[in-house]
Amino acid sequence: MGKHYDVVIVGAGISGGLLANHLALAGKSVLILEAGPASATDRSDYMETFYLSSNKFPESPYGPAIVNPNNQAEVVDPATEAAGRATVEGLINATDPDEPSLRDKPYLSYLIQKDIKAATATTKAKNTAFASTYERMSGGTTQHWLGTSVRLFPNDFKMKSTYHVGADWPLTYEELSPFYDKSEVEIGVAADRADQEKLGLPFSSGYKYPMPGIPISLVDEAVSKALQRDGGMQALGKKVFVTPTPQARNSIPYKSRRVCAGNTNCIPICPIQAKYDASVTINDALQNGAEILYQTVATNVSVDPMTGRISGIEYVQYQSPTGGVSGRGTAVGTIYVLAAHAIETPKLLLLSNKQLPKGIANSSGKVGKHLMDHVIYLAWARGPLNQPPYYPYRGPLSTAGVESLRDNPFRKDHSAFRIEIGNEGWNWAAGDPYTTVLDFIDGTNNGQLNPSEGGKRSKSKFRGGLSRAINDNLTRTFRLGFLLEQDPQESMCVVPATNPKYVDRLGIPRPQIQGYGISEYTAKGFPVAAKVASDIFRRMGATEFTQLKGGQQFTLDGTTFNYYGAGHIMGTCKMGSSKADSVVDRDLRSWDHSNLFILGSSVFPTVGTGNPTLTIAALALRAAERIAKDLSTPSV
Amino acid sequence: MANTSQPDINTFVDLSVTLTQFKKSLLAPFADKVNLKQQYLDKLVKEMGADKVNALFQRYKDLVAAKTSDDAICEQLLNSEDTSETAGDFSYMARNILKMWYLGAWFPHAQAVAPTDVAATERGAPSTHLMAPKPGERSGREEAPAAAYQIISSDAYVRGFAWRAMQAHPMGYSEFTFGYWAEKPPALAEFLPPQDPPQEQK
Amino acid sequence: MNIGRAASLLAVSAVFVAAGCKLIESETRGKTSPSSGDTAPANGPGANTDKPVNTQTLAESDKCFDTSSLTDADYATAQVRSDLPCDRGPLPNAIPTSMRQAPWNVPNENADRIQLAFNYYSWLTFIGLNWPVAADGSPGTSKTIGQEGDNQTVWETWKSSYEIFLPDGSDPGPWDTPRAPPAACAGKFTKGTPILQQLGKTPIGVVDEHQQPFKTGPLVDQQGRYARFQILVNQPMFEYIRQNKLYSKAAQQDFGPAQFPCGSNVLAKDAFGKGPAVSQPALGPIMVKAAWKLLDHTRDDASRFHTSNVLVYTPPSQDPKVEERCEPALAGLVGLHVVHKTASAPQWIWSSFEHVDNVPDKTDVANARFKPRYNFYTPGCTQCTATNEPPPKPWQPNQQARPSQIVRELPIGANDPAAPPVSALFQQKLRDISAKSVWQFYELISAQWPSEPPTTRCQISRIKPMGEPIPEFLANSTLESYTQKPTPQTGSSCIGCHNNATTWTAKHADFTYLLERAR
Repeated sequence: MGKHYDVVIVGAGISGGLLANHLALAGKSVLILEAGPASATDRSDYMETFYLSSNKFPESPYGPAIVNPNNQAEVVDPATEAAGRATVEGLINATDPDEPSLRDKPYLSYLIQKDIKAATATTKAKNTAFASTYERMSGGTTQHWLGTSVRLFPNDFKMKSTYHVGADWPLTYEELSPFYDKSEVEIGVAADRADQEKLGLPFSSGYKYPMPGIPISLVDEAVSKALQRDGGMQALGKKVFVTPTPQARNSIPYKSRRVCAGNTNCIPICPIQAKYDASVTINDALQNGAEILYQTVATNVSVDPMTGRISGIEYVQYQSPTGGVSGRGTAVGTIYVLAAHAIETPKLLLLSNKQLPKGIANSSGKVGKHLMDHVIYLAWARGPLNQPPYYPYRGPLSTAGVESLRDNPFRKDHSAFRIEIGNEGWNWAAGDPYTTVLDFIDGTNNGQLNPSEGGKRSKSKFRGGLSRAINDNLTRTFRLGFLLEQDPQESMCVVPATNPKYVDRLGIPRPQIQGYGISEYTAKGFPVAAKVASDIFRRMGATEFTQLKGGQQFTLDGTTFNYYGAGHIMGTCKMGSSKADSVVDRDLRSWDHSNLFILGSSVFPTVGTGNPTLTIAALALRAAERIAKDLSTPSV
Repeated sequence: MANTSQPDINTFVDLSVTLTQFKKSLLAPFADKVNLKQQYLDKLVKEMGADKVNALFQRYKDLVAAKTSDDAICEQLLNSEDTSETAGDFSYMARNILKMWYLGAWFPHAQAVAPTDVAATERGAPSTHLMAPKPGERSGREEAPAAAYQIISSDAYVRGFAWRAMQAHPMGYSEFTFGYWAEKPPALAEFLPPQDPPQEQK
Repeated sequence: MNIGRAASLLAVSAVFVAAGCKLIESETRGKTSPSSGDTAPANGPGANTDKPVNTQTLAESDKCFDTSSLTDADYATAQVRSDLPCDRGPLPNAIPTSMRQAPWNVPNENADRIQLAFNYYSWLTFIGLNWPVAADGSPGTSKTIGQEGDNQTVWETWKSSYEIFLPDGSDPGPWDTPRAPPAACAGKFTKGTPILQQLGKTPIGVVDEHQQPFKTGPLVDQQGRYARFQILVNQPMFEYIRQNKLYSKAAQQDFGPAQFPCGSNVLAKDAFGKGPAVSQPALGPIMVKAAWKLLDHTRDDASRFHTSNVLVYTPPSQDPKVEERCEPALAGLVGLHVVHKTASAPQWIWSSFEHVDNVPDKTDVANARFKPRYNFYTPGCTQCTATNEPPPKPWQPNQQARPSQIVRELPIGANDPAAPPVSALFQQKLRDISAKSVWQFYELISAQWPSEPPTTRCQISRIKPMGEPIPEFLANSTLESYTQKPTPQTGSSCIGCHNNATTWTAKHADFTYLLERAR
């Protein structure tokens, strides 16, 4: 039998990292099991892969390889990978594998996406693909996050009592606020308190963000000016104005990491690690004495049926990313923590020990249920050619947004949203600069900025004409991303793949998404978002180029919309105030097993309108205090 | 008879200057350890074969010798009405030379776009022959690429001139300092100094 | 060339490099079209020196001899070594103030030849910095470098980062303020004893025990002891910091981007016996980063190292927990970066030296071609770390650690074929002075320089602030052990990484992370 630890943690992401570091500093023995590899000391391999990837997806820099590097059109089969993960390449191939009418290789998606009948032809806005992805490695998905570190609004915690939608959290903003403070200091958030207070957010007295705010871009400036014009823009009963975004990237030297140099590449990788990622915290935890096993995948959470306490976590190990099982073991401790995010955590619970009738931590039957995301409405435009450019493609990917519509009276009827202003032109919207530059050279019009000449394909541009066309157009392009709330739906869930064909290289079932789609509550926010976008563009004198493309779609009242995943995987292990209808309590402790905690966004009862990471961190630090207290009390 | 000798790097640079109208030192710096010009010529030869490249260079030299203006040379190479295979090759190569300099990448033959398809792409059906990068964690379902384009090297990626034409920098490669994004960039002419004026006839 | 005349000039000027070796400065590169005078032969020492040297506008400078007869292959051969024009006199004791004093003409369109000049300049700098120091801190005149084997050097008398950036952000006092030890070292300290405390030189260069000592990997020698590091600056660099109070975080709040002054690159008139009346050359800012191995009397051959009796100080820390300690040790120099800002290189010139026994090249490992022993590598080592990986955490500098297994990713000479021959030339000269000279055991890895010349003296470009460094990547195996791969942004490039250095208001810090040490 191996060593007995105070705490065994599954997952070396931001939750597991913050918890491990907190407890290690307090002198507790900590073991982390991480399914993926360490974050490389020399990040050159990630950067080289990024530079050479023709599809620069969020997962592109990291392993295991998504495409064959020698033929990037060839997607790697996740069945050959020890610890795969959801990827955009997988999403491109995703459809119900039992009814592959849309894509001929649905098995190329690590995530098995059931119940997708047709991507476009639904009238009830359901049965669509879950569109977000994640990483399995030290640092987790913060390796490719944007760094947006907004707090949730007070009303985000009480959607049920305020708007009769979804559920209330068993926690209030006020209770979480001191842990927001600590999280911002720990991960390093740059923001100015006054900007946030304008939104009505209360702060602890005397609190200051650890770094000054990051300057907004010229794109933000242009949007902001237009919104202020003519007495200011109103929508949804609120004033519409631009707020600089709190960001987990350095605006001054902080914690021995460099200051942001505006590489415009936060997603997928900051080349200079000016953006926080959780491998930083994992390394701190290891320096403070925590231990970690990499390439170690938890397979079973064992329970002592007599006491109901968790007794161990069984795992398998592998040596090579495409190799099979090389070792097995059981990690044993006093307290167990699952921090493997909202897809792998419920999968592990549902795969675990069947001694109990409903399985581990699942007396409520809610494990895996209420899968949510922020879904994105994307709108894009080009500024007037006779006005000064906005100069996009400079600065962090996003430096400001509209937060003032996040909480509005119409939230009782349809989802609210925050608006993220992009600094990357039409890179996301249309694949620029590639698409438009190729249009100008080839005479095509895929990006819509190179219309045909008299019905004939336009001529190739060259010499000064080419560089001028690029400059005139692309320095005026920008996009707005609307992050819409999804309301919790019990039918949208994660389970281990039901067909034994869909396993990974270790023989572990891959996650399966079922019943996912865009609810009416969420869908009805889209036309509202579209109108706000068009109004903003009009105020700027900009020409809108938003168009329906391939990709994820749903239809509402005869209008079809594209949607994108925000990478905010939430729900599936709901936190609540009663054992009957939730998986964990307000301390993130399992109702069923007193020595089991579940961290991460899987516990979110509702998604709110803010990006989740800062709230994940605050919840983790709050749980860390609870767990430290448990450990100093002889019998829990 | 096909000329399969190694195509001349100087002709490649001259042709590149003609196509881009960039100052020669941008394409062939005096101390060129990275040597993109050679990387690009090598790629061109690898994809097309030395004989086709030599034929293009000969055509270019003939046009120069005939005192054809730079604009007219580009028109003839890129927008020729000639439907012969040779003219098609010239256009394909000339366009890829531009693409390499601007984007650091080689783009395999696109599906032929018939004139009737042009309207369709304008209406918004995205082209499927090029898989443009989709950043953001949030990409929609797009058609898989028929053939992915190839970034020639990381050095090539970070030196693509498309980014300079936007007075910006390649995504993932900034040499600028914190906060620069709140200020207007230097003028386009600083980013892309133009070709020297034509020299007097000797 | 006129050797006799050069030799006689040497006697008066003692500035070896100027002896018939006036060289064009790098800023003339690329400014000329092929038909310009750049390729026209210049003739011997002093040619063209009548033309005023205009350092303000970086006009084309003068050349001292004609290299047009040399072929591309020549410079890498032994034959060219003996043809190096300025290798016939004794080694000079002066630190060159600029590339202008590197004895090599710079033909257009050939980076390797320009590199040769930078390598030559780098070695002259190395010689000057390691010259036996006089009482006033300058290179002395009574002794020659290495004549007694080892000697105290000029740069070791400079100000270390700990003397400049005090914990309370207060004024460090004038240049001649004596070195003061930490309390834990009291009683062990005698005047001037170097204090070694830095535990790593990260890729971002900000490692500092006053804030976060452990963010990067330490380097561990084959006896399991941590290498120690030092950053020191010369007086011109120190004075700029002090005059502008950049040692204080508070004072930095009102300060814009840092701009260290470039030195004066003009030559003394009498070096050439004619020419314009110009002022004395003046050194610009220089910073030195040194890596030291703590020598083990039983296993290390101290006669192969420049050594120093030091106090190794480990400051206390709570997060992570580290015990305070101060112990005397004999330290051997294993790595030396010399970084010099000049008018034509406002991105600074980055010359990197190492002890010859540090690590094998990757190709040596592939061919199992090993030296008898290395400072940071052992063939077939089972106790060591994985190749080029830092030791496992937690890192505890006071404890025996797992030895590092470091391999040079880019073999010396692979990117810079001119580095080994120039090193061989100078090593021979050092041996000629004394067979016991420790300085013969050091070699140049390469020198990184900005290949896009500034359009304004001492100013970086707004479009390409890094100025297209050549070589694109340069790693010292003791200072950038863990980031040696050749990838833009993450691979080791001195200029590339230091371009990200900022002040406490996130303004450009002029390629030094030192200013982040202000409290």
